[in-house]
Amino acid sequence: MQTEQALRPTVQLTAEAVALFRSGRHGPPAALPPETAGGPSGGPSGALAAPLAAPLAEAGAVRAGGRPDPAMAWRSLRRDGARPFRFRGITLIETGVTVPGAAAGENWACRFAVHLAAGGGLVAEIAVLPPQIEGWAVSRPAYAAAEVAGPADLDPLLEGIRAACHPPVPGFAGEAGDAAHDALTVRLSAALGRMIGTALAARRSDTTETGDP
Amino acid sequence: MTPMPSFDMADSRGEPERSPAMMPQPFTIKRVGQRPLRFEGSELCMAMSFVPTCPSWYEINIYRTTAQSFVAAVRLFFVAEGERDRVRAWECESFDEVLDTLEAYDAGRDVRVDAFPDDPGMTPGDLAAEGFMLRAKVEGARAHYRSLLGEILHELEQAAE
Repeated sequence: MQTEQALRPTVQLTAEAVALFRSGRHGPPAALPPETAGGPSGGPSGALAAPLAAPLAEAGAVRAGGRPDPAMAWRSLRRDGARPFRFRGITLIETGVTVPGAAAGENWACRFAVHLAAGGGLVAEIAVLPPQIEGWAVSRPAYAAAEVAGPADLDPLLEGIRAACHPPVPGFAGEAGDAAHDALTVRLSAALGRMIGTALAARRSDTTETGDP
Repeated sequence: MTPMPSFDMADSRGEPERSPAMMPQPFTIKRVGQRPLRFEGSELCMAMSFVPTCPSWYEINIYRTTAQSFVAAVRLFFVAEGERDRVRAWECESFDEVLDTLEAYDAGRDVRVDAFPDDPGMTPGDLAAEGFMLRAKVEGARAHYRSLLGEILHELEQAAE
C-alpha cells in the first residue's frame, strides 16, 4: 500500500520564505474577524442552539451566553493549488473509507471531515489517496476544502477531487481508475451529503431559535 | 474493510526541509516567448514533483532579488529527449503576489496539441477521440501542477505555525 509520505514531492524552504508567508497570512479569506461570530465568510451569528453549542462547549470554545469564543483554535486545511483554508473552529466529524478499485490491491483511501467554524459555518474537507498503479502519472494525494452551506456546495469539491484523481490518459490504467473513482465519488458524495444534511438541520434549528437571518 | 494507510489531514506538523541561506547570485531564466529574465538574488523556495515512473515533472522556484522584488518560475521537464522543456517566470513586487501568480497559473497551457482538426483524413470519431484525450491531458497537467503547488503552500503553512 502506498503511503502519502512516499508520494510527496521534494520541497525546500528557507526561513525567509516562511517569514514572508507568515507576514502575509493576516486576513486570510476564511478568517473570522475577532468578536464577530459569523461563518467563515458570513454565516449566521449569535448564540448557538444546543446541537451546535454542545461540541463547541466540549472543546471549551463557548463563552457565557452560548456565543462561540473567537479565541478558539485556528484550523488550517490543505488544498491543492491554493493556500490552505484557515478558520477558527473545531472538527465535528472526521472519518475515512477505503474504496476497492477494479483490480485486486487497488484501494483508494479517502478521508473526509466536517468542521464547525466559530460562527456556526460549516467547512468540508476531503482528501483522497489513489492507489499506486504502474505507469500511472497521477497517483498523488488530492486535497480540497471549502465552506459549505449545503450538499450542493460539495459538488465543486468533488469535481476537483475527481479531476485530480482521474487518469491522465484514457486507456492508461483508465478503466480501473474510472471504475474505482466513480465508486469513490458516489460513496463520498452520499456520505458527505448525509453528514452535511445532519449538521445543516442543526444549524437551521439554531437560526430559528435565535431569529438570525 | 481494508486498513487505512498513513494519511495526515489538517494540522499535521511536518517539518519541511530547509536549504541553507544563500548569498545573492546572478540568475538567468530562459522563458517561453519572452526574453530571458536576468536578476541577482537568492532562492527562497524550490519544489519538484519528480517521480521515476512519471514522463514529466514540474519544478517551482521562488526567488528574492537584491532589488527587493520577487521572481516566480514554473519549469516543466520531460524525460523524453525529443520533448522541449518549458519555463515560465514572472517578476512580482511582493511575496503575496508571487503566491497569487502561482495560484493563477493554468498548467493546462503546458499540454502540447498534436491533433490537427483541419486534417481532411480525420473522421468525426477521430476528432472526438482526440478531443477527449486532449481534455484528459489538460486535466492531468492541472492536477499535477496544483498538487505540487498545494504541497508548497501546505509546507509554508505548517512551518509558519
